[in-house]
Amino acid sequence: MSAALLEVRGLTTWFETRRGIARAVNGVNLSLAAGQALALVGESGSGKSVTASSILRLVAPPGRIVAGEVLLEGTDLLTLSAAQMRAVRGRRVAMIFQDPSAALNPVQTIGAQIVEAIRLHRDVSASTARALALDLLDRVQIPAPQQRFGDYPHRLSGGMRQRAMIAIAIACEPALLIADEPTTALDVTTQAQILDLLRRLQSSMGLGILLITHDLGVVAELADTVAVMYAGRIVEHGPAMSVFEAPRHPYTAGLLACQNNDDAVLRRLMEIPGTVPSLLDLPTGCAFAPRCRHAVAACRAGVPIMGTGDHAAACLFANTEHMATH
Amino acid sequence: MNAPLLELRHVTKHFTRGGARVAALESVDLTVLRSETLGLVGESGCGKSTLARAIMRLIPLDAGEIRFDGVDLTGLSRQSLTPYRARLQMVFQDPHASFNPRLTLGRALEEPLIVQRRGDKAARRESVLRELDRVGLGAEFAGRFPHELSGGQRQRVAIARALILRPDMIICDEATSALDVSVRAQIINLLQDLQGQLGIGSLFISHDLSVVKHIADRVAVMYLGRVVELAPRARLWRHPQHPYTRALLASVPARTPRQARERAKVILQGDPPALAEQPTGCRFHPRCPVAVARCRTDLPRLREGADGHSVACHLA
Repeated sequence: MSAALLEVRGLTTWFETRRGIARAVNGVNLSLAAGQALALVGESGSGKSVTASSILRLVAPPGRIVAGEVLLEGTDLLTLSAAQMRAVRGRRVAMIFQDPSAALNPVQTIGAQIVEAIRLHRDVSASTARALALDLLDRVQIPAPQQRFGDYPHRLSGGMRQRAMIAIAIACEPALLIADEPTTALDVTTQAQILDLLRRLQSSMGLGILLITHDLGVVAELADTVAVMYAGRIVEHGPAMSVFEAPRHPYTAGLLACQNNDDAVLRRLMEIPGTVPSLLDLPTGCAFAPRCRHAVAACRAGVPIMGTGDHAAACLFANTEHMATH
Repeated sequence: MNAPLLELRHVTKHFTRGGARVAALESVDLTVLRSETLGLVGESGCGKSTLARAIMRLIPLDAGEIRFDGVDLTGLSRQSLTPYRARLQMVFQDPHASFNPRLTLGRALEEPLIVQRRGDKAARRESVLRELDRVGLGAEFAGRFPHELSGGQRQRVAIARALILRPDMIICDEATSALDVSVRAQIINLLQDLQGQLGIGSLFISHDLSVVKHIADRVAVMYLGRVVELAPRARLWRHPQHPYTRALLASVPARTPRQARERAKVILQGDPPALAEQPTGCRFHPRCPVAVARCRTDLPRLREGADGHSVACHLA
């Protein structure tokens, strides 16, 4: 095991609303080794995006980080001053989003935006920054970088815009890239290109990637390790291979079954009944219990503790044969 | 049983963008049989949603016929179209945008019955409750407003609204694309069950190939306004003929990390060209890994081969 690039411990983020406290992130632990890709998987409302913005300390009010540690290369980001945090963002950790057109400035050329990202953190001349920016466009495989440099975002296709976002994100060679649903808005052929690009950058730059997604296919393509999130908590984590082939939490098993529909005879998908609970009104005990086929009284009594080891789940039955027998 | 219910012949639609004529649909021929599900796949901008809107007569055509149960809808007046509208219903991607936020769901479900002048108040009320029950929602939902529902519940109501007039066919345009994975499976199963029970045909439009692979009997692949391949579902996945179909299927993410590692990566380069800049010859040739000289000049026609498998490629 290489040293942890990112170590999140007990991260807790609440939203205090008129209708009560929404516990969006509820004691989350994550660990990502340098140069590895960790996928944080969950459905809408699971808290995965709030976890990402909490790591960058970009939670907007009424959201508030209540507790926890976010250790990036050994430094707890939650203890930094605002100025120190600004130096970390973009320089050591960068982020890309689902919708690059919302993240890019529409009235500034792609080139100018990359140059700005470079000069914000590095003391280089305008001409050096321009040369670096062209090199970045090339590295993210944007064809004809010289021409694209002077283009405005609306001139680019969705895939090219996401490449431009990635160029800005890696401009200062961060150690960690947080990618929040980076391919969700893209077509499947473009998605394959972007995933391929992220894989290349991961190996060529030793970039650590925290991938936030609901799409298990994207996870299968990119992730070394996986953490599954449900209603604000991590319910399972482990090496990707092992989580996909031998899921230990019924929620993970259900998600995988929903997407793997090879049964040509039945032509019927596995489903998880019900819906994700409201964060304002979480059930007592295991939040998944109301939807779980295996749930027993004990599941509703207390929140199950995460098991130990590389691959573990927060389920009373994670280490028994109980699930297999159903 | 297997008579054609919907037949599209040479359906063509041009838009004008910045002074240039852009072919959104170019001579599309497709057939949906009674109680069959025809999947329609393709990337954004390929024309699949335009086709849905054209069939619903929400946009006028430039050329071609839309025959529904033998009658060409394109020639009908608004008034004579009304009975056909009842027989052909649509479910959209975003149920949030397709419900009036100020109407209760009961009222929203009643609306089609009022428009079609079916039943009195009591009979309509009964239909509303029956349809809610059919999609797995209790009677209490009739009094609720759209914003009080989850995405999955709203999509159930959208399905109920599409079914309340007992259509012969529904068009689902990305009907499950906005839903969470665990809910998507519920809605797909529900659609399949109801279609089976009621004997409804459907045109299922989606960019999500795994969903289409599950739900469709036959699948049509569109690229830049044209159907490039059409085949029974299993056949298309086993023997894709068109290089675009092959690239599209190969782009679908692997199911498991093991599969991702073992699978050869075939990555289609470039983006689909803008509609205004359609290439000559085969529309796919600039991105095609096997294109030859002829592909740059001659447009390949959709030719029918064995086992109901049609493909528009010179090399297939």
